[in-house]
Amino acid sequence: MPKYQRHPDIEWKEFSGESLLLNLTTGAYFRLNAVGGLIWQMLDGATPAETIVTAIQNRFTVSAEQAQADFDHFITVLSAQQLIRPATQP
Amino acid sequence: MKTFSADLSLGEFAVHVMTNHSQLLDHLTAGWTFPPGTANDPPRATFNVEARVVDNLNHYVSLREDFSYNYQHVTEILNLNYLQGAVRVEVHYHSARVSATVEKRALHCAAALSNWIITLPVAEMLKAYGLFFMHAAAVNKHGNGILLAGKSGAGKTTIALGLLQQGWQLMSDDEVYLCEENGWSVRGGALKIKISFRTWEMFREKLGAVQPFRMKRLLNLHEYFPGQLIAKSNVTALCFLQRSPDCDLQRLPPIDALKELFNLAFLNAHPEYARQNFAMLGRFVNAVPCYRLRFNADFSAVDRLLTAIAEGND
Repeated sequence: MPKYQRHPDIEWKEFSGESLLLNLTTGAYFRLNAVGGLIWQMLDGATPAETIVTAIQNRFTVSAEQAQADFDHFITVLSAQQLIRPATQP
Repeated sequence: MKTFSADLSLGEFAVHVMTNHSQLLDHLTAGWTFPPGTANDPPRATFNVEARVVDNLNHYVSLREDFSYNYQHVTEILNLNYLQGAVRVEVHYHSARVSATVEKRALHCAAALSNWIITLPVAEMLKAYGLFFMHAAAVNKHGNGILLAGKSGAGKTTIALGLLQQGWQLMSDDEVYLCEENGWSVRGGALKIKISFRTWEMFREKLGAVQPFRMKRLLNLHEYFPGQLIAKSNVTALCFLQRSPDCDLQRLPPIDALKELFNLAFLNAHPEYARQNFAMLGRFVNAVPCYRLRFNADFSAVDRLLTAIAEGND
């Protein structure tokens, strides 16, 4: 499965479940709910997508299908906003 | 080329200004709101500002867009364009130097030139010294400082004058520098404020009657509120201002406060300083209680609300 990593120009901070992201290059900012925040924190370039989907399933007590769909949708959104990129090979 | 120069002070920092045009020097020094430095201590750092007036930059000058700007960060230089390029400013970080080119027609925007050419570029460089600019007023009562944040027109000057009348002390009505050093502190030290005719009219009993004027006029606060102007204070709370028929306070979650501060804390410039600024603001909203203050012209009610949070009794 593909791996993704956070773009280095993005700074973020977590506040009791929610997260705020700031693109230092454009000044655009984004607010993530708890599910988005969990995915975001795990996008370290090393964690496989399936591990993240399992973490969503366990943390929020949702079905595997729902967790996978949430993950796929969120990755699409993050990619479109250039907040993440495919992980570089070690 | 004939040169004109002046030395300005910003707390423990010095600003040396050189220009080829006496009118520009007048605008820059008249718009400088901070008190002169003391001769006793050498400045912590000196920022050199070189501003050159030229006849024509071949750019259209639109007074309707006089507050627009854009920037481009290239290596260690931040390029700022104001008035669609009629004022071009380069901030050279490592040499602590600002060089500006000003189209002669832009001299009509006298009130804003000091901000564009000195205040904002110097604010950018002060981040290297741990001082972070915030678009806010700062007041103090009994040693407890409160930041009153908001964009232009939010009511910072109005509420600053209203609280001065209630006996509060003032550090600035518009621009302050936040510092994380033995807790949170704020520096201002403005002797003068820029005031609109509408705000002047609200306080005409104290300030006296004047003929209507456009834009903003400088007012020397020391003449009206001697002994109530201070340079530094701790910070016990931050309020985002909102004009309203009502007067009340609402506590904001830290994440909401941080989101609002993005627009008021000048984050978007040198990437490394922006990173530091973001981290600093994140720590700030977690450590200092933040509120939305809806206010009207009843400044005694504002006084009661702010006194309560300044003393930790909200």
